[in-house]
Parts: sequence; structure tokens; C-alpha cells
Amino acid sequence: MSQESILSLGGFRYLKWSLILAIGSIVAYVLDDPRTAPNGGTWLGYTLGIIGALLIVWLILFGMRKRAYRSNLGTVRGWLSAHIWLGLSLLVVATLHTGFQFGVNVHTLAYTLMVLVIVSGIWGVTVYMRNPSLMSGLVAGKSLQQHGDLLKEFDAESRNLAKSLGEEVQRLVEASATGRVVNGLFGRFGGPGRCPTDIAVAALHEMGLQGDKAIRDLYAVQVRRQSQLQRMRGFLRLKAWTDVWLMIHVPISIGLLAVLTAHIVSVLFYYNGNVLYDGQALIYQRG
Amino acid sequence: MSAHTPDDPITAEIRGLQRPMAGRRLLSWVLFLVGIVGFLVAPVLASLHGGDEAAVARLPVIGPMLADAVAESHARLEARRPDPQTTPDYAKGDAAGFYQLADLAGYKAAAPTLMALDRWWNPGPVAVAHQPWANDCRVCHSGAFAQVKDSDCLSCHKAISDHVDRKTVHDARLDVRCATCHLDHQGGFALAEQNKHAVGRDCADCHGDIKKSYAKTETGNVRDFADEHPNFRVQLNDSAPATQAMRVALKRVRLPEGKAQLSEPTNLKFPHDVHLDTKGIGSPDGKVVMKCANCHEPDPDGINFKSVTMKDHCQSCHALKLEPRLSNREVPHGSVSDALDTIAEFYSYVGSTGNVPRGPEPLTKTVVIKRPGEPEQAPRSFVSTPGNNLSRATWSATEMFEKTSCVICHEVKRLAGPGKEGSPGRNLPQWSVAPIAADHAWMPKSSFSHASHASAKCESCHDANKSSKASDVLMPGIDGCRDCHAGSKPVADKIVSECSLCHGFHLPTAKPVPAPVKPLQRLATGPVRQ
Repeated sequence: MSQESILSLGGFRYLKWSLILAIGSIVAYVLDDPRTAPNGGTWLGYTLGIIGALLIVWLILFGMRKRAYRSNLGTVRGWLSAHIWLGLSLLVVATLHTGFQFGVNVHTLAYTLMVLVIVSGIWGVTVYMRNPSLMSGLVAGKSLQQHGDLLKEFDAESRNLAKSLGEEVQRLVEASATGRVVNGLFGRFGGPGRCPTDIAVAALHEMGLQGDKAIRDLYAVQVRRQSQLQRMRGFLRLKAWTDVWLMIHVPISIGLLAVLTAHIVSVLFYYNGNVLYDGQALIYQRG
Repeated sequence: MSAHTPDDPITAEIRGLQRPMAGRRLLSWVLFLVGIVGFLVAPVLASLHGGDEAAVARLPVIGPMLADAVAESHARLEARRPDPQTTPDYAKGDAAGFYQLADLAGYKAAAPTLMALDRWWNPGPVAVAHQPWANDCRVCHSGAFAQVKDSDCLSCHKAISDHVDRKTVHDARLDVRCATCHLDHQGGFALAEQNKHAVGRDCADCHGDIKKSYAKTETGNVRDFADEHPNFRVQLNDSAPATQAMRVALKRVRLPEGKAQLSEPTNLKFPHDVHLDTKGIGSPDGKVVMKCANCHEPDPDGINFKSVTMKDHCQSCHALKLEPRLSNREVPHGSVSDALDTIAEFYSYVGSTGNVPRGPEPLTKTVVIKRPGEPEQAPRSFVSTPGNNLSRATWSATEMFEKTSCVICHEVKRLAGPGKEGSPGRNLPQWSVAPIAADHAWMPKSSFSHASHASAKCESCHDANKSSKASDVLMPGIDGCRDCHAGSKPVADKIVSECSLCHGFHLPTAKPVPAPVKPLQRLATGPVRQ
């Protein structure tokens, strides 16, 4: 079933699960009529909270399953599909768990971190669905090192052509050859700026207008180097944006795990709900 | 390209670019530790440790470093704490017996957690009266991993009463926690207020068949205001008082269905219909059209009304003039012997000195009732009648008590004399005036805000303009309420009305803390002297 994307896996099996969970939660929320305003401490609040907490733990476990290459517990593709769809339904479950009560406290902090993780996850799915095909279009079946080798071939050819030309041209060629593919830590995310190859191309273009054939040949090689660089940079830019979401998704989800623990322990530490009471109070909840 | 030759710069750079981004693991650890220490370990330790600054300063190594920060944080928290002693709301709660203000002082710095680190656990705003302790979780949450105990609540709310006296009714269904109904952290309103919509749900558990809980009760069965609520019971005087000081017993009587009217002994003559005549009623300033509010002035609470008094509400028309020639001379109201003394003293002065005091303005019409056959004449005066002081005073007193003044509103009876030994009025004829029953709450078991109903006309509930007797009970029955109020189930164009909209849960407190909602007052004499 190679046409199946990570989202449509098994005929949207996990989308269905996710919808059942989300719609079920919404229906329960609408039907529920607690004594106080809806909040995390009602029967439904606790139920949704427990479901949400278990979901979070299971979603974080995906990070381990992904690395457990020997595991036979489902396929990683299956886990990922479930991870995505059930992660989205968590947004509904957890929001209803809050009863739309937000404040400056550890509880809303946990919710905020969870939303950040889910939003970064949506971004992750988007880049994973979109970027690889664009990236493979750019590298056209070759590895990045093979593309690098092409650069080196252009550089050898350029140095050869520059031998008969002046010192200024040789300096341009050398600067072009030793320039970095991407500039600095954030260069790979794309951004403005002229690299030495751009400068060489522009300068050789000026000189080539005067009619020297060697210059024009060198110009042609540098233009090819420039377009090769652009192709590689396009690839790297997509790769960087594809990779960086995990820098947000993973650490925040680990932070969420800590704050979620604090959230759960704290509400039990200063516990005052009636739900876990000895049952006496519950008799009166309904006539 | 091959492993054993050193990489050229391009190969090395590409290799670097292909490595996964670094720092994910470090960032994860940092966030995890910040979360777990900041929001769990530190608050738990602080909570278990209490707010002892000195103990922190004694800690090895970090103690001296933390001491200043801790002290500063505590000072800042203390500065932000609202002071219950200076908040009017607290005095109000105190008066209603919700707590005793004097006790709150001790809770001012109750049991704060070190630097109130646990305040980040606060799931939502606490009720307005609890806000001075919003950062002191342990004031209410006295134990870790334990519910708020009733004893935590009762340490301030000492005066709060049960729903019924447990000696009267023993029903296990009443064995609930304070927090069964009163859950805090649901917003800044008063707890009683925010629980109102929920409290009514359980009432029908017992009140649906109340005799089962308490066989002797006179309370009717109630399930829902819409269709299963008996008509109201109004509180009435059992009898008219026999003496001024007597407080008559009150009884509660159910309002009859249909047109039947309740009446209540009051000893007062007061026709509402005459006073509310839309064509107006005579007054010293000519005809005036009176409104209910001329006499029934609302209390600031919007629920009750100020007592109607002779001085404030009657006397401007019903003046107690003793001598027709003088428009500004009246007898005191409230005591027969004081009135007779004043009359006797006045005519004695006139007789002995020959002086006739004059009023500031001439009288324009007769005050004394014209006898049949007498011609209409200019204002008459007892001063100019033949006879002595005593006969003039007797005439004046008889006119007042039996014809022009007292008898208009009161049951007046001539008594055999003489009067009180040594009093100036001793030799005048004597009368008794039947005491007026004190005003009282009509529906003490419910609360009705007149202010909330200000858009309705008084007569849409109270048939005062058709009432000719003071004894008419003008309290409206349940049918009028149901025109606008539905029960607990929503109905189009009606107000959802749970039990708690009108009724409270706790009995009025047994302790003498709260003043009665409205002090009992005699119509004429003001507060009853005990």
C-alpha cells in the first residue's frame, strides 16, 4: 500500500479513533451538568484528565518506540499515524478537561506547553508531508556529498582557467571555492546575503563583457557553481526547517511531562474535590 | 570521501550539515528539571516546611544566600494582602454570622508556605472573602493529600448553623461536608452566591417527601417551583397586643387559594384604598396623589422597607393639634398621659396668665368638627369658649381623642378617671388607645429583593389600592411569581428558579452575632424597649 500516507494509514484508522475520542468527549461535556462551572475537578473533569494524561504519556513513548528498532509492537508507521491523530484529539480532550478555566498557574502552564507541543507537531506533519518530495526533487537522486563533489569539480576547473588570468580573477575564484555552503548557525534556514560565488559571478560578468573568452568560460563555470550552490542551499533550507521542529516538539514535551506531574501531584496534594470522597457526597449529586 | 584521507572543507562542511541538530537532549533536561523542581519539589518542600524564615537562614551554604530573598518575598506578599479588618464586605459577613470578625485577626498571617511557592498551584480565583489568604493555601488545606476538613472552615465560620437542628431531625443525608456545596477556586464571587444554582438540586431529596424525614413538620412537600411548591406561608400576629410592651406571638399561615383573603389583627385603622385614591387625598397643601413609596421607603438592602412611623409618614397630614387657634402646637404622640398633660398644661397657662399664644400663621379653616345645626364659621378656639381651664382642656381632649385625631387611626376607649396620680392631666377624662402590633417579616423563610423587582409596579403584586382595612394581608401568593418564574427547568420567557433563588440552606445562626434582618419596631414609638 505505497499510496497510503502516514495520515491515511489503514484507511484512516487512527483518524476514526481520534474522532470517536474527540466527539465522545464533546458529547459528554455538553451533556454533563456539574454543580459548579465545568472544571477539572468534576467527574467528567477527572475522567478527561486521566484520559489526557495517559494519552500524553503514550504519545511521549513514541519517542522510545521510534528508537526501539527490534520492537515488534506495531510498525513505526502505524505508531506515527496513531501518534499524529490521537495527539490531535488530545487538544479536544485536554481543553474540555480545563472547563475553559485558565489562569497564571501550573495547570494552565501544563496546558500551554501541551498546546505548543501539538502545534509544533502539526508543523512537523506539514513539513514531513511536503518537504521530502521537494528535497528529493532538488537533489535528484544523488547524495549531498555527490553534490559537494560537483562543486569541487567546478572549483578545479575554475582554478585551471584562472591560471592564465590576472591575480584579481584568481582571488575571486579562490574566495568562491573556499566560501561556505551555508553561512553560520542560522544560515541554513535561508536568508539574505551574497556569498563569494555570487560576488565572483557578478565580477566575471562585468569582465566578460570586454570579450575575453577565458573569462567567459570561467564565468560559465562559476554560474554553474552558483546554481549548484542554490540547489544545495534549497535542499538544506528545507532540511533545516524539517529538522528544527523536533527541537521544539521534543524538549517541550519533556518539559510538559514534568509540569504535568506537578499538576497532578499538586491537585491531589491540596485536594478538595468530592469525586474521590468516600462516596457519601455522591449520593446527592443526582436526586 | 574516503575515510582515511582528511576531508576537504566542502566535504567536512556537508558532513556537519547532515548531522542532526544538537542540543535537543540538553534542552529537554533543562525544561524537565525546571518544571519538576520549580513546580513540584520546591512547593512540596516549602509546604511541608512552613514559612519559617529563620529556619531557612540556618540552612548550610544556601541559607545565608536565600535569607534576604525569602524575607523580601514575604514582605511583598504581606503588602499585597487585603486587610479583612478594613473591608466593608467583611463587616457585612460578620453581621450575617458568616464568621466572627474578631477571629480573623489571628488568621492574618495564618500559615503561609515559604515564599508562598505553592501559590502557583492555585487553580483559580478564590471567593472574595477568602482573598486575604489566597496565597496561604494551608489556611484551608491543613493536611497534605487530604480534603479540606469542615474544621478548617469552621475555625473562622464559627457562627454558621446547620440546616435543621440535629436534635429535631436526624437524617444521614445531612451528613455532608461544607465543600459538598461550597467549592472554592471557582471565581471571585461569594461562595454562597456561586453555589446558588447548584444547591437546589438536592433539596427535593428530602423536601419532596418531607414528612418522611420529620413527621411533625408543617412544611409542605416541594419538588420544583414550577408545579410542585405549595402556596406561601405568611407570618402573622397571632393576636393584637394587649399592652405597649407586649410582643405578640407570630404564627405562619398558608395563603389561601382563590379570592379568599387573610387578615391579621393590628389594632390600626388604615384604609390603603383611601390613601392611594388616584384622584388624590386632602392634605394641608391641598389634594395630593400618594404613592406607595411615600410611606414605604426601601431599606438600602433592597429587600425590606423602613418602618412606617407616625412622625415621618403620618403626622404631616395627621397633625395632633390641640388648639384650633394655634397651627404649630401639637400633643406628643405615643402616650395618652403625655398628651393629656400637654393639653392640661396649655389651658392652665392660658387661664392663669390670660395670654393666648399665637401660631406663626393664621388658621384658614375650622379644625373642630361642625355640629349639626351649627353655622359654618371661622376657626374656632377653645380658648374663647365659656368655662374654666379644665372644661376647655376637657373639650379639647375629647375632640382630639374621640373625633379629630386619635380615633382616626386607633381603637380608642373612654376609661373611668382619674388619671395618673400627680400628673397635670389627672383630672381630665381618660382614654386607652389600643397598642399597634409591631411590624414583622412576612416571609421569614425566604428572601425577596424588592430592588430586583423595581421595574414592576407595587400593585402588580400587592392589591393595596383595593384594601380598606389595615388588617388585610396584602402579601401575594405563588401564582403571581409563577407568571415570570419557572422552576429548575428552562421555559421560554421565564426565569429559571432553583430553590436557592429565594431560600437559604443554613438556619439563622443560634448565636447572638447577627442583628435581625430588620429590628422590630412599633409603628409609633420606634424600637421596642426591652
